[in-house]
Amino acid sequence: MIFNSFIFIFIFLPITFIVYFYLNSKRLTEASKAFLVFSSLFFYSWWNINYLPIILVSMLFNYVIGVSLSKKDNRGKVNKKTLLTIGIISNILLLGYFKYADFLIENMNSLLNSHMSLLHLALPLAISFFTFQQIAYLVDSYRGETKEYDFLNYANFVTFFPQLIAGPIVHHSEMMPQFSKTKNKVKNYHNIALGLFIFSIGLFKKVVIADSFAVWATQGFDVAVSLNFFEAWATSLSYTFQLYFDFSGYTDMAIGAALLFNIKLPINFNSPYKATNIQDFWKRWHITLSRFLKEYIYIPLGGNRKGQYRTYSNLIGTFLIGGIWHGAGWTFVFWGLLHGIALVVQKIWSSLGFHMHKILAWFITFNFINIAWVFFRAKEWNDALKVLHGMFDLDRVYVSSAFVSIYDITFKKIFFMMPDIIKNNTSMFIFDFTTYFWIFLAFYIVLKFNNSNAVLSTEISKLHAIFYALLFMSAIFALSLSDYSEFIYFNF
Amino acid sequence: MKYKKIVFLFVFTSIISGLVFFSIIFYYDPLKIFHKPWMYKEYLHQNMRSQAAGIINNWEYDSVILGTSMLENTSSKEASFLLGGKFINISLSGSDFYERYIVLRYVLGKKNIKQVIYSLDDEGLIEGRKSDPFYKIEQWDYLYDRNPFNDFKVYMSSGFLKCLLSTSSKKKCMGHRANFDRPNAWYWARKDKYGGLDNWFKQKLTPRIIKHFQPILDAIKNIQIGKSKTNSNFTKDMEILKHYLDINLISLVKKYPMTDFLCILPPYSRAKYALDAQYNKQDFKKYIGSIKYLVQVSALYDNLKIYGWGNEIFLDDIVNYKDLKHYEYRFNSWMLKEINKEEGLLNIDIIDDYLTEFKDQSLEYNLTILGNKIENYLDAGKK
Repeated sequence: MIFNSFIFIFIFLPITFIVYFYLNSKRLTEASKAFLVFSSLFFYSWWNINYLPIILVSMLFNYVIGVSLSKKDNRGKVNKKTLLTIGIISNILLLGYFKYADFLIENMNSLLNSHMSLLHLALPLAISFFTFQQIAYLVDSYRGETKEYDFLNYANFVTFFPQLIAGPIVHHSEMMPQFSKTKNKVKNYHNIALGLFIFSIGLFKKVVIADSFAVWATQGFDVAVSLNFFEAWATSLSYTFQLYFDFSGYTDMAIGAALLFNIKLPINFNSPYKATNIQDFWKRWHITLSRFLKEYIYIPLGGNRKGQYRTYSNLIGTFLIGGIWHGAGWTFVFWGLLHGIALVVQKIWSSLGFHMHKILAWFITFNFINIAWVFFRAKEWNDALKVLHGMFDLDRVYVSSAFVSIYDITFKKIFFMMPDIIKNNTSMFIFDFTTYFWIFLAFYIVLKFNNSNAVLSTEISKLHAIFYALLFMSAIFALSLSDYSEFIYFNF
Repeated sequence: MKYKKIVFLFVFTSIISGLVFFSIIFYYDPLKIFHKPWMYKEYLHQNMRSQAAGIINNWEYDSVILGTSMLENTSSKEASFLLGGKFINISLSGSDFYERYIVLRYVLGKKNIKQVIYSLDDEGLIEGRKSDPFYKIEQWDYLYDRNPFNDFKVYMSSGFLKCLLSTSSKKKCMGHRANFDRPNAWYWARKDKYGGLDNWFKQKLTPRIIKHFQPILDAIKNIQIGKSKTNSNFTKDMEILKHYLDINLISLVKKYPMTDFLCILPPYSRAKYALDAQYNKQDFKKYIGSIKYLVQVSALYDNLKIYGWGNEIFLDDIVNYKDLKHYEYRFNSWMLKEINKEEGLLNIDIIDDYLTEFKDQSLEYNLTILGNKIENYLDAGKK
């Protein structure tokens, strides 16, 4: 079940909401928490029930280790450090087995010229997210920063359906207290209104904007044999916007759905394409992942406390891990490396006291990010090189025949063509006026509009209700036009 | 209290806007899926894969003509007159048995159907095809399930949305003024192509026409030098085809014993059969194998009848065809009369003789004239 499906929006979410608050209204607090865990596991199992034992075992294992680590007395048979090491290694092994085994075997085969068979394991959904969250929990338990939470709160922290599949990567300290709070057991119409509004924004971002760009990104990366200058830029920008609207749309929906249950998830995006340097970008993009990488990898590696060169290597190391976390492939590693190097360059630049005009800084930052996404998206090195070659091949700066003449620019073309393409799933190769119009529109939205989180701090009125209801319904309508697609971050 | 009102206003606006939208669609309903037409009563859409749902749901009938372009010219009035009952013609252009199974299962589950006239085309008997790539199944099959709510999906396309907003009465929105006797009949539009081979080649040569004729010419040239296509996996292919026929046709024959399935083998031109018999030998073998299998099965079910006229003399005369397959519409009428007289009925006693004669005629047919004509036409066009 995905957020942009009718079954989630009109059946699963309303039923879970009604039953949860009904149980709470009858003061069946534990039952309501258990019901929420059950609903979340049902939501998770909808894809493939075979994954259920994996998340259950992982959750139970980490809970037991976490509770042992957080006990004040240290008289157990195994000392805490050993217990933590066992916990972390077990989590990494689980993730490694499902996510990286084939990658490792492929590389071993290439290096040693061997012929080990690949395992072809299906990646259990959300494994990267729930593993990271639980590693953080174990580390904090070891540090004595966790309380002795009850199991249902812990289970809700790991499985709470709005954030289970693709984050935000939540921290136990910001989640578990919320599940215990008595105030949160009562329906809060302010939260419900905000939840509905931000969910509507997210749905619109995903279904109307991201899925439209997905068509062009797929055409450029996966279908086209070669791309000219304009087509290559249209391809890379389409993916840059697809990824942002897809992931931030998902996050908005997650935040909105959680708010219905009076649970506040951390924000994950803050207008990242407005960033004027790469550090700024990582403060705005996938904020909860950045936080995790910083607190649990960069700082433990020594952060910036061990000299300049160690700082640089820590940065690059952290981003290499960030890259491989996204997927088992060298293109992801290279993407991480690019970002790590960019951060080092920025640090050096700042340490030398140089300054840059804000617009130029934005221009360089945005283009760096856009180019780096090419490696992130490409399935093979050749796909990435094909797009990059087109982007910088100045001999091929021409408008292709597919780019329609001004006479073909009609209302229909602009607003009605994309759903048709999505619906028919045709292999038409069309970078035309429509593509460039939408890219322009996307630039305007990401640079001029407030971030959707701003809704959370706005005094809402009846007019807002009407506006967001219409936004919601137009997204529902667009959803019915297209065969819905999964969110990009479900793959990670 | 303020926020409670805001939440209710959000829900209320969503529901109302949704209701208004779906009410308009329900009222507009150009495919006549939800109710008998309230406007544009005489109009139907040509895409019968979608339109048939409306006809099935809201027309009066007790018998069905469900074929391909081979039966699109068959008059339902004439069928009703000759065979009894009240026929409708919902033939799907270029359809295979899998596509028609989806429609037929729905019709049979919805009404007590007395008779089904069904064409046994190459797409089913030779290819065992599962859907036309041009008409993707997922774009229309939901119209033929038990869920009436998902039928709204058919209008969730940019084309219909634009029609809805503009309440347009254009052809693409409301369909064409239909002849309900045979809604997708095409005989009147292609008259000039009958009357002999010369009429086939009056059109200006286009890449599409070259693509159509070149393989025929290549096949004829190969026949002249003694080359042909053969099949090494005939047994396996036949197993697959039998399974395909079982699932998509026989299963319904079995399930609805009170419905007569009058299955006809469309009388393609002898030239087409000759091409298969002399060059596409594997196809010809499969065609014969499928017919034989169906006739054997028909011995088990009283409600399954297979009709074939493959040995008739008119197949030899290309004058009766506009291409290798499509015969003049008078043969649609002729076939109904033959069924009425129980002529052309194939049964287990005669099938071997029938097929032997059919094969001999196909092997003896001389394709040289056709080959020369095509070659001249293509050469002239290229110059």
